[in-house]
This record gives sequence, C-alpha cells and structure tokens, in this order.
Amino acid sequence: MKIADNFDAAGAAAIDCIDFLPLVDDLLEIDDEGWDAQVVRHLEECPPCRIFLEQLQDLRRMLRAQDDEALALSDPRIRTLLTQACFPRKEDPS
Amino acid sequence: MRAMIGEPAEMSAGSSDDAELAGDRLLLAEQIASLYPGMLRFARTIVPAALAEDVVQETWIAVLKVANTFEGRSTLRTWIYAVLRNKARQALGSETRRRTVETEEATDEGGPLAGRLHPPGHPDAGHWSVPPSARFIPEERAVTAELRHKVLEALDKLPQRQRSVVLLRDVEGFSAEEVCDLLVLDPGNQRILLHRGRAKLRAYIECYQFGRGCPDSESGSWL
Ligand SMILES: [Zn+2]
Repeated sequence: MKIADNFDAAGAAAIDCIDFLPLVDDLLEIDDEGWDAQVVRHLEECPPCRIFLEQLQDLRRMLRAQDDEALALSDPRIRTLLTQACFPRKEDPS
Repeated sequence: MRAMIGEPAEMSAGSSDDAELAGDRLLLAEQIASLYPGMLRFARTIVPAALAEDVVQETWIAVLKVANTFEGRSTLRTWIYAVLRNKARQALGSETRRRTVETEEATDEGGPLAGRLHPPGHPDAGHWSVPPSARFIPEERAVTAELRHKVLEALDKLPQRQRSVVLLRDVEGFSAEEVCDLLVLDPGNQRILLHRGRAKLRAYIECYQFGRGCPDSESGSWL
C-alpha cells in the first residue's frame, strides 16, 4: 500500500492515505468520472483506501434501504388525519 | 388537494366530483403513508421517542390546515419537515434552539480511525497500519434485514446532531442545502457532522462484520 512520493504524467503530486481520507465524503457525491486524477491514481494503487470508499458506499446503500417502507393505507393514524383534510368543493374557482 | 403529491401550482385545480374526491383522498393517504416513517425518525432525533408520534400528528394537522398555501414553497417535503422541526422544538421548549447554534469542534481526536494509520516518523507514515479488510455488501447482493437493523442500531448511538444530519442526508435523501436550512447549520458544520457520523457508522459495521477497529480494542471509544 506504500505509494512512492513522486509525480504522475500530468505533473500532479501523488497523495497518500491521510490526504485521501478527508476526500471520501466529496467522492460519494459525484460520479467517478468527475474524480480528480490524483484520487483515481491513489485508488488504483491503494486497495485499502478503495475498500474504505466501497464500505462508505455500502453504508449509504444500507442507510437508503431504511427509507423504503411506508405505513399501510389502512393505518388508523392516516384515517385520523384524513378527517382533518379539507378537500375542494365543486364550486371552488379553478 | 391532488397537488399535495404533484406541483404546488396545481393545488386548487380540478373538479370535486365523488370519484375525484375519492382519488384525492387516496393520493393524500399515500403521501402521508410514504412520508410518515421518515418524519417519525426525524422527530425522534429532536424529541424523546414517546413524544415523536404526537409531534408528527400535530405536524400533519398543521400542514393539512394550510394545504392550499403550498404555492411558492421550494419543495413540499422540505416544507413539511420544517413544520415538523418547529413542532418538535415547541414540544421541547427553547433548549434545543440554543443547542443548534453550537459549532462543531474542528479537531476529531480519538475518532474511529485513531491508531489505524502509521504515525509521523514511521517508514510508512501516511498509510494504513490496520487497513479495512473487505466491503460490507458484496457486489450485486441485496442489503439484508440483519445489516439494516445493525445500521439503525448504530445510528441511534450517534450524538444527536450527527444523527440528524446523517438521517436527513443519507436515509431521507435531502441535499446539503436543505439540511443546513432544516437544522440551522452553516455548510462547514453540516459537512463535519456528516463526515463524523458516517465515519462512526462505518466503524461500527466494520467492527460488527469483521471484528476490526472495535472501540474496546485498538481504537478507543468512538461511539
Ligand atoms: Zn490509501
């Protein structure tokens, strides 16, 4: 996992794991095509940081999976609320 | 009322014959059913669990009273969550309002990655000493009920402000800007809270799945 402190073809300094780790939240927000060349290079050369990023991507999938349930339409809490709702009458201007 | 599901501008449009009214009721019921669980989760980050149901019900009652004034709101869901936040804070009194203006500490010593990277002066300084071993969900696999439960368990252990930010961003899917508005946070604080919350959740699941980086072994206490 040791990355030589050298420069890539574009002249950008290589980053190490400590440089990489604060960037992961930003990487989760954008498509991998938009990632900086230094980041892509580090991920190619550093399997632990790639796994770390994949773990965070997996974590987000797990968190998103919490949001897929809904109440049953017959739930009494919904029935109570529907009695509070004012629906427009026929004579409403529209 | 149909517009509760669609664009705010459609709010007062449409006739109200019986069939349409039944349709409108159904659409509203579906809207409430889909938003209710997330609203309960958010309410529980602000008030004790015993109060959360009442707060969500009061929110919907307030929302339904002014349902024909949605026009011009940025998004319906964000607005409903803002009403919910206000109702929850009213339920708690002024204590929460004071706490939300606290700023997050810039330093994060003793975080879940403490001891996982070689220190300065080490030949491999800047690189992992205890690297993460494998991803949590092998590709193409579904999220298991067990993992979902573990993540919820970990989420409940986070400090309140980190929990609110992670919940709104990663569970409910709000944007950073919407979360800053809802929680009255500046963008820098929102970012730090999200980063720290996610880092702790990742570490919790890593400890659970692989027994690595657990708080009572190498990394100290991070939850
Ligand atoms: Zn690395």
